[in-house]
Amino acid sequence: MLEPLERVLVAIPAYNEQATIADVVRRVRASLPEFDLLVINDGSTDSTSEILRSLGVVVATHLCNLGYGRAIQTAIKYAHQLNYDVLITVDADGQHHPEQVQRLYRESRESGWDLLIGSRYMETRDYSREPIGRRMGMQLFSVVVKLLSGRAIYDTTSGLKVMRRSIFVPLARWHCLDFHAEAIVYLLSLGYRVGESPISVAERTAGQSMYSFASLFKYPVNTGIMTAIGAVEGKLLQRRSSA
Amino acid sequence: MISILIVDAIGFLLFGWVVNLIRKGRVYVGYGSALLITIVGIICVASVPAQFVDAVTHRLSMDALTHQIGKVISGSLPVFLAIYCILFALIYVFREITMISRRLRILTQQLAIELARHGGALDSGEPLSKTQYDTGKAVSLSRSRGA
Repeated sequence: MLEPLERVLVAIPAYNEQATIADVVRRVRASLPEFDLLVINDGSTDSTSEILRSLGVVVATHLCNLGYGRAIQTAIKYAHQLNYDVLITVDADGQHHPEQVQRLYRESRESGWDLLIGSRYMETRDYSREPIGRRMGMQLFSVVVKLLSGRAIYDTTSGLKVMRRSIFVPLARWHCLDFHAEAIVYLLSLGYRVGESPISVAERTAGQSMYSFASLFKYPVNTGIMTAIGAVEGKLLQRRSSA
Repeated sequence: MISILIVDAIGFLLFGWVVNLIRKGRVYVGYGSALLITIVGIICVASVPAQFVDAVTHRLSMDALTHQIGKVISGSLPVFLAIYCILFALIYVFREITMISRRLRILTQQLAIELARHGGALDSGEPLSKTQYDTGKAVSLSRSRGA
C-alpha cells in the first residue's frame, strides 16, 4: 500500500460496457482504495448508466457519444480542474488488471515519467495475438514514433496510462484523436518524458472493440496525419518557448 | 506547361492551408485527410504530361477509352480551377462544421465535469435521446436545475 502523498484519480472511459463495467469498478475499488475513481459514461445507450448509478460511483456523463479520445480528454480536464496530481486511465472492457496499476504508479513516481504507458508488447514484442489489420497498424505506428521522436514505444494504443499533472494542460488543449501515437509524439516533441512498463492483459470477454472495419483505413490515415502534425507542432512550441 | 504549374501551385497552397487548419484544430482530421487526398490526386492528374498518358494508353490498347474520357473531361486549366473552387467551398463548410462541433464538444465535456463535481446526474441519469434533444428536454432540465 502506498502512502497518499499525491492525489490520484483513476478514470474509466465507458461506452456500452454493461457486461463488464460493474466488475471493473469493483476490482478497481478493491485494488486501489486510496485512489479516487471517475467513470466517463460516453453516451452509452445500454444499461451502463443504471449500473453505474447502482454502484454509487462518480460519473461524468457525456450527453452524446463523443468517442474514446474525447472521453479521455474529459478525464484530463476533470483531473486538472480538481487539482489531481496523477491521472490513471483504465479500460472498461475488463482487459486490464487493476492490481498492476499500483506498480505502474510507483514506477511513474520513482522514475519521473510524465506519461507511463502500460505496454503489452514491450517485453515479448509479439503482436501475433492481434488481428492482422491492427497488428500492422501497431507495428507501423511504433516505427513512426521511433522515426519522429527517436524513442521506441512498442504499444502506442494501450488504454492503461499513468499521466502526471505536468501534461494535463498540453493534452487538454491539443486536439488529439485517441491519445495514441499522435499524443506520444506530441509530448516527446515538447520535451516531456514518456516511458513504457510491461503489463499483461486478459482477453476481452464481452462487448465490442471500438475499431470497426472502416477503422482499418481511417485510423492509419488520420493518426498518421495527426502524428506528423504533432511532431512539428511540438517542436515549434518548444522552440517558441525557449526563444 | 504553364497551366500545369498554375494548377500545382494552387494545389500546394490549398494543401498547406488544410494542414494548417488541421494543426489549429479548425478542421477535423477526418475531413482534412479526405481533402488532402483529393488535392494530391488533382495535382497528380494535372502533372502527368499528356504525351505520357497517350504513350501508356496506346501501349495498353486503350486509346478508345481515353478518347471517350477526354470527351467528357478535358484536362484544361478552367476545369481544374472549377474543381479547386468546389474544394475551397468544401474546406470552408468543413471548417464551420468543425467549429460548431468543437463548441458542442467543449460544452458537453464541461457539463459532464460539472455534474460529476457536484455529485449530480441528469434527472433520468441517462444521456438524452435524439427525440429528447428535438423536443427541447435538455433546455427544460437545465432550467429546472437553475430554478
